[in-house]
Amino acid sequence: MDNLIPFLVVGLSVGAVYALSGVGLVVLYRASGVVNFAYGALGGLAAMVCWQVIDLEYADWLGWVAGIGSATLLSWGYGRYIAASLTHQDRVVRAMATLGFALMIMGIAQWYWGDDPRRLVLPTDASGIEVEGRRLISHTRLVALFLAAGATLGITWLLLKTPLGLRMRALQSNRTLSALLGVRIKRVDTWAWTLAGLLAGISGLFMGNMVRLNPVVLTFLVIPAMAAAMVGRMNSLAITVSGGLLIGVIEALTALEPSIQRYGSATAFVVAITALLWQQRKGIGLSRDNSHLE
Amino acid sequence: MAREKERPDTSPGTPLQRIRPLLITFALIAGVGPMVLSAYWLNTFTTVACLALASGAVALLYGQLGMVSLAQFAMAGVGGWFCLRLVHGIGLPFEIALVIGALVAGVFGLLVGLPALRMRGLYLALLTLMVAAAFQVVVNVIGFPDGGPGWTGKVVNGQRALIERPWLASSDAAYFRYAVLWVAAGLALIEWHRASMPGRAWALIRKSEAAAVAAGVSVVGYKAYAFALAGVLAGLSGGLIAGLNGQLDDTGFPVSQSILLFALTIVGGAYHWVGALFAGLLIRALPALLNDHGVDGNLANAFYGFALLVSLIQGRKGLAGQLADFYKFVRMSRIIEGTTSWVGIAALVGLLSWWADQTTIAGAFFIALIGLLFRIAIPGVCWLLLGFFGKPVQDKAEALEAAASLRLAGWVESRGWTADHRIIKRALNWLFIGLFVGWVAWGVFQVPFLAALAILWGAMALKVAMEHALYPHILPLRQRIDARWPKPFAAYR
Repeated sequence: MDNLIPFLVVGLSVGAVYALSGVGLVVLYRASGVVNFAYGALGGLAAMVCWQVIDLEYADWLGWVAGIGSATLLSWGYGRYIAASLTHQDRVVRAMATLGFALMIMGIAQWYWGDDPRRLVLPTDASGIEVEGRRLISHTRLVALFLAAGATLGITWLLLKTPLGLRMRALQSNRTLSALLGVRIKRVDTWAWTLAGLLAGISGLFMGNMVRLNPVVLTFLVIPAMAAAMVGRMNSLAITVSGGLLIGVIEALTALEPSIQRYGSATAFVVAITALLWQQRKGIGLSRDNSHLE
Repeated sequence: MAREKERPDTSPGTPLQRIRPLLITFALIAGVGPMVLSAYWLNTFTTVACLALASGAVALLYGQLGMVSLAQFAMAGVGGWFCLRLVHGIGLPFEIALVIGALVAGVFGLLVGLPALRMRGLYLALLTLMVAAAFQVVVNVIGFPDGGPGWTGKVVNGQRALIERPWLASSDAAYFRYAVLWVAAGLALIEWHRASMPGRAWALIRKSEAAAVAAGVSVVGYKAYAFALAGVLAGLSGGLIAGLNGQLDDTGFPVSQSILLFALTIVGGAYHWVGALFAGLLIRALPALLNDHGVDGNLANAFYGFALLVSLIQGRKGLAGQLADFYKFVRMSRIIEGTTSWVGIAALVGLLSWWADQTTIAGAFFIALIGLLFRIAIPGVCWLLLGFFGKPVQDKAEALEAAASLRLAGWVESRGWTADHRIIKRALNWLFIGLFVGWVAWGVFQVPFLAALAILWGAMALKVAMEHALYPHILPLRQRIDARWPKPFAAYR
């Protein structure tokens, strides 16, 4: 059992970042009906900008602000201008548009920063909780875990207790009726995108620290995050978080079994496919988009 | 709730009529290609053809049925894997292994598609994304067969083996023609389906599944069939790529390629087979061209993302759709006139440049043809890009251009020459084409840039001069032709 603990720790912390990303994806999907493929790309950009600022000898906190700020800004811009011109199209098209956005960000980031090995060091890396002289979990990973939990609670509070959250839920329920009732759709949508950008930036920093600081790798980390969101049926935050943590833990534990060790990185996908098939077993339609029916 | 725009139905015509342009185009490509391309570009364009087939599979699912499949490139990998394994393991001839590999990929495609039968578009997209990602991991681990033992057929230590090309297609040029033949057959198969019962069934399913069920169309059956067919075609393209290089790269089937394949299918046009060709060119030929000039491939990716965004905002018809839209209004007289004048000019230009030792006749001919293609496509693309900034900007730009053109045309008329009221648009068009196609000619055909510019602008100037000189004589002929034959592509969508 003892030698499982390091794996559990790593698994939980990576899973926490998957969960955090998944929460961001679910919130955006609930509010605007868009699956954001650009989530990982935004996070990757945040991490690279942060690293660049720190590399230029500025203060650490400036780097974090710059990184998270750039992700939030881009996401706001996309939501305000581009997503707005696509609202009349169906969900698939809007999701594919974010794919285009992701390719753009990834392409430019990869061109500018390239493949050089880099490390994003956070000040909490150096310290951690020690047990019997051995490092059990670094503070960075602890912060990631707390952030995931905190973000979930915070967003749940936002959705349930604030007027903005109420409007987001109204939009999720029926956009046309909400518009008729006077909900400012563009404004609520923009807020949803801004929030998603913020979460993307934060999770991007952690991903850059814990996984790898490379724009392409970080962009495609959106896929495990989507896996977590799919487990939560793109709806439930709590299940998304559990899904993300589960994926992280299973992925870490595959390292123990030699025969499946090298397939470890496929864990998220297998979990997502299983979850999807399980959810579909009774033929439940998960998308509310009925535009195909006359 | 606003409805999505009406998507084009299957075009009219018997299956054979529908396939004929495709077959003619591919016959031309197969015939002319090896004559004008260097060895490197010949291999590149063989890959382009294979990717066009994979793109056709994606287009089949998206254009016909509105189903997003991000796993088609993974299916190509499956087809290639089985083809390699069969050739190495049992020693089957290439063709048979190719077909069996394709069929196995079809089965995989069907398996992926089965859950989709009850899923709506977005969840299918996510599912196929997961499948593609899982495939990347699996293939990274087990690798592509290269002559080794066991289930995976991977050689651990020692010489990796390549499969040999089929005996009647061993040279690069011959394999190019061979691959083009297969690709033409695959795309023709799709067109045949579109023009007959399956195509109509798919169109009805896309419009409304409830109506399809009411009409007695088996929704499950036709959807499953579409997935299987798409899988088979993708597997075929994978096998052909395997045959080209003798092997497949373990890292050659990442998720990013699957995503790019889908994105560029949309950009190229998912509703027409020409779109698949464009997609293949964009995925493979354009990056190669950019590489030649030291442009980072990542910028190409960024550009593709931008193009995808623009394409989606503009109504998803893609480049091929823009072309088809343009052709809709074209009159028969203009087609005949255009073809004869361009063929004549291209031949003249070819002779001149051969005499001036700038390029081969075939090379100059090809440049002229590319110029013609861009002449048709560029205004549409510019309009498309403007649309990215919103309809008011688009309208304003069009109004501005029209006003300037009319002003200029009035001035030209006052000089006693005949003027075209779209003069500004054409002038900008020619300017851009000269520069862009000249760059392509420089990159692909190694023609000196200035010489290419001279060829293109000279050709255009010649054409304009000819039109001016011959207009009074041509006009009655035009009117007679138009009276006789209606617009040929008016009904084509």
